[in-house]
Parts: sequence; C-alpha cells; structure tokens
Amino acid sequence: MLPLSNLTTLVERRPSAGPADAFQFSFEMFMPPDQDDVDQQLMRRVAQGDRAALGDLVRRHQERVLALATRFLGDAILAEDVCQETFLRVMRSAAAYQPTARFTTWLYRIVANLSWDQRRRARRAPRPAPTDAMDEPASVGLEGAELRETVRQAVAALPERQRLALVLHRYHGMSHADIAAATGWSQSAVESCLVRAYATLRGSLTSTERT
Amino acid sequence: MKHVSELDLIRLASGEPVRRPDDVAAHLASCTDCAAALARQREVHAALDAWDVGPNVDMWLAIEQALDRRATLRLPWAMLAGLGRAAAVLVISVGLGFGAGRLAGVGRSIAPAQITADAALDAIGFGLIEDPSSTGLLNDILPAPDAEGTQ
Repeated sequence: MLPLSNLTTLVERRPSAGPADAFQFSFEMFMPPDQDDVDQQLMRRVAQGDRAALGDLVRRHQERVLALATRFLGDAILAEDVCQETFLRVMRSAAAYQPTARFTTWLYRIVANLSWDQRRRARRAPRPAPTDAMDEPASVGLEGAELRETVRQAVAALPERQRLALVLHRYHGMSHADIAAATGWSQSAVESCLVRAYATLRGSLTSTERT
Repeated sequence: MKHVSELDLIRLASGEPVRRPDDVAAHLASCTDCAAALARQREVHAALDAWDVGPNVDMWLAIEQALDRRATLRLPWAMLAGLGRAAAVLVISVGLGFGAGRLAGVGRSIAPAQITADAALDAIGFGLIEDPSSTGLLNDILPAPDAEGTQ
C-alpha cells in the first residue's frame, strides 16, 4: 500500500484529478500493460509500415475475428475471406487510425461492416430451402454435436441485426455501448435487438415456456 | 416492484451489473415467475456457450501473401496512373488552347474602312437586288437629273 504522501504527489501531477482519480492513477501503476495499450503500440508500428507488427495483431485477434465472422455468416470459408480482408484494411487504415476508442471496438466495426457486405452479396444468390429443424423446441437433453448444430441453426435463423448484436454480446463479451460503437447503431437499438434475439432463442433452445 | 425487465434478465444471466441490484435480488427471491424466467435465460446462455467454432486457422500466411500480391499489382497501376495523368493534362491543354482561339475569333471587330457599300446593302437586305437601276429603285431614291443632266 502506498503511503498517503505518495498518493498526494500522484494527485498533484493531474491538476483536475479528484480522490477517485488518485485511486485509479495509483492502481494503474501496478497493473500489467493493458491489452489495449499493446494493440495501440502495435498499430503505431503498423502505421510506420512494420509488417511484423501487423502479424502480431493478426495472431492476437484472428481467433476472435474468425469466430465473429463465422457465427454471423454461418460459413467458415466466407468468414476466412472476411478475416483476411479485415486485417488488410487494418494495414491500409493504420496511417489514419486515431485511438479514440479501444482497438477491438474499431476492429470489430471493420469485421461487422465486411460481414454485412458479405451477407448482402449472399442475399442476391439463391439460398437453400430452410429445414424444419426449428419447428419443435430443443429438449434439455441435447448434447455435443447435436446441441451445437441446434444452436447454430437457431442463431442463423435470427434476423441479421439481432444475430450480430447477439454474437457480439454473448461470444465477445461486449457491453451494449461497445456494440453500439462497433455497429454504429444507437444503444437503445442494440438493447432492443438483444431483447428480441434472446426472446426468440428462449423459444427455440429451452424446454419450458414462460407462463 | 414490477417484474424484472427482459434487459435485466439478460444482464443478470451474463453477469453484468443491474440498476438497484438489491431490489432485483429481493424481487427474484419472492417472485417465482421472474426466477423461472432467469433460469430460462441462463439455460439459453449455457446452450449458446456450447457452440464453439473451430478449428483455429492461422490467417497470417494468407494475409502476407495477399499483401505481396497487392504490392506487385500496385507498381504497374502506378505507371498507368502516371501516363493517364499526363494524357489528361495534354487533352486539357489542347482543349483550352482550342477554346481560347475560338473565343478570340468571335470577338474580332471589323474596321469601318473594310465595310464596303455592297456589304452594307447586303446587311439590310438590298443585296438581293443585282442591279438596282434595273428596277427603277434608283429613280426613287435619287433625285431626277435636270434637263442639262446635272442634279
């Protein structure tokens, strides 16, 4: 624990800081580097043409980017295309990148836009006929591959906005505000999408109905 | 207190903070409907968590190859773009010069000495008459000569 005199010194370095800021400021001194700080440093190097830094960013985030694109698009091949294009855009935009928000929020915005474009292109192509798998609610006893397939179909059946909001919320742990920043929607629109998405999934993934 | 909202049920099942957590907790303890709704929400979350997407693919090799391809394509495109710019400058210059020449020609004034009588008659429509004397027009516009032939 820092002596009080040290805390006073820390507060004095930030003229507008109050007591809460003093706690935060001292707390941050003992935390490991924030993951966002690492991303921002890598982005600065990418802006200078450092391809190895882009490789580091790819390895840090490719799993999440692929997962988001796969769950939204429902197609692993298309998801890989989106993932590749995402990081190419990161490279192209690095010089103009301004760290006004977390790096992952900006990254997810690119993924969301590219995935959305991919869906628009797919809509023009003929789609396979929907199956009857979702006519009956899933039983609690489903396990393993059967449950995964049921969940996959249930999420794929959601309208696109609800699907994107749900995937960002459930699988990427994003807050409603972060989802709004990544998608460009209002926070109330995000919450509305989430409420409807989860309500639909309650009907298709649970065994009991609300009384 | 009213029943727990859908949004708060989602927050609770996700482990996110809710407003007035003590009130919500007290209500859940006394309301079987809301407790059942929360249980269903948690069931949905658990089912969603069962959906893992994989296997993980290393995208870096493909991204690096795409970067190399784009760098190769950029070189001839840069040359073509330069040629295109030069051609555009040439076309614009010729066009401006042509236009300037046309404008200079339209505004040129004719010196009065160059205006001939015939040209003036032409301008007011008398040019159609080949020989005004043959139509007697001159008799109308000029005084008749006297007996000695003087005016």
